[in-house]
Amino acid sequence: MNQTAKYQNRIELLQGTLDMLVLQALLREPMHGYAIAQVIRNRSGEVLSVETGSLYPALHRLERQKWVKAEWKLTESKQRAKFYQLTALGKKQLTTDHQRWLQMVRAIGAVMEPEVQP
Amino acid sequence: MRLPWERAKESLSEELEAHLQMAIAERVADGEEPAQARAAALRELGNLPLIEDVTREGWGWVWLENLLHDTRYALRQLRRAPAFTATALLTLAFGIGANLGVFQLLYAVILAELPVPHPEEVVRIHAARTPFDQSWTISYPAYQRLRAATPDVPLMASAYAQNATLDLPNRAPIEAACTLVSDNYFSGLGVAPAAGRLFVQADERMGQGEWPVVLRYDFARKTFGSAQQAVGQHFLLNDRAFVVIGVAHRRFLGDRTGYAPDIWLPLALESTGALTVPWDSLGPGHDVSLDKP
Repeated sequence: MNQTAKYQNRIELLQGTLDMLVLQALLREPMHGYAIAQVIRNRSGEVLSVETGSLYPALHRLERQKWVKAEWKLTESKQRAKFYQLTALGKKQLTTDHQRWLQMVRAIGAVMEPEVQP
Repeated sequence: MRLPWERAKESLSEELEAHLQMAIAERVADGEEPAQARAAALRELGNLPLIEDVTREGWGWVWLENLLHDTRYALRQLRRAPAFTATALLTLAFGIGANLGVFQLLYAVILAELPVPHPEEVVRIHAARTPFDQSWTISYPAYQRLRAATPDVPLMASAYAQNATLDLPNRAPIEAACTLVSDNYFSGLGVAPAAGRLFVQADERMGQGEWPVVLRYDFARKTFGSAQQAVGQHFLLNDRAFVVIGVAHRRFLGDRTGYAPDIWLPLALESTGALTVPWDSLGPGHDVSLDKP
């Protein structure tokens, strides 16, 4: 079935990358949890799926770290939802996380494909 | 009263509920049947209570909530078994009470220090028992000889005296506990007066028409209204005339634990036999009196 195939194509999120992805999703505008999950799934071409059971603990963790702040607002369809907004501290954290991620990708790439290295 | 975490918990439930509603709404918009959409969205969401629990654990005070729940559960269990509860409570109460009682007794008798500036410098010496009447008390002449023999040591004395009847004009007689003390008793212990003055050497003078006394603070207040008012009062004690020269510091209750005299009198008074039992330290038949023991 198409649905099952799609599910099997998904990749488990790498440990420690969820926070970065959530912060990145919030970079442009405040969002509620459902939208964050949608954004991550859509931008990853349906490959990355954020489980609700990971997303909400992560959001509350980020809020405690003061990397995001939350506010109850109405959605366009008049649904009350908790909107998360990136803070200045969160932006700084995102930069750090992003740098570390790029480093990681380069390092893993160098190990896996040594012939590409100059 | 709503506890802060209960409010936070409701907020989290609402947040997850909103998530679910949005998921259903999207599925319905895609053309699914509402009931079907709801079931699918719920399946996708996963175990809601578990998600709530995991999220709340990040808040850091789940342990406190658990503690409260455990306490409530324990109380409920205790209420369900009243006999056991009563037994346990009584056992604990008696156990703790007995220990506390013993400790307080020990503390009062052994551990507590005298309420004087330097209790660690005070040493108690008991007079030898007299051979005949086995009395612990010390006579005034004996004290004088002892003090003359040890000029380097500030030797203070307090001696037993019987309770005496205190007569005030227009008042019912009062039974008062008396202790005889040497002139340097208060100055030696470093006790400060609450009012008036304490004993000096001149107070030991024999043959006074009116003997000076010092009162215990609470006794002075009870009898004369206040420490200040007590000073200068004249009264009869066992039909002998006395005058209050001072009141000891509020916290000073005497040098013996568990016995707080109401009135301190000069030790010299002992020789008059006014407040002490006449004793004969060598027993009957020997020509020994209070003047020459």
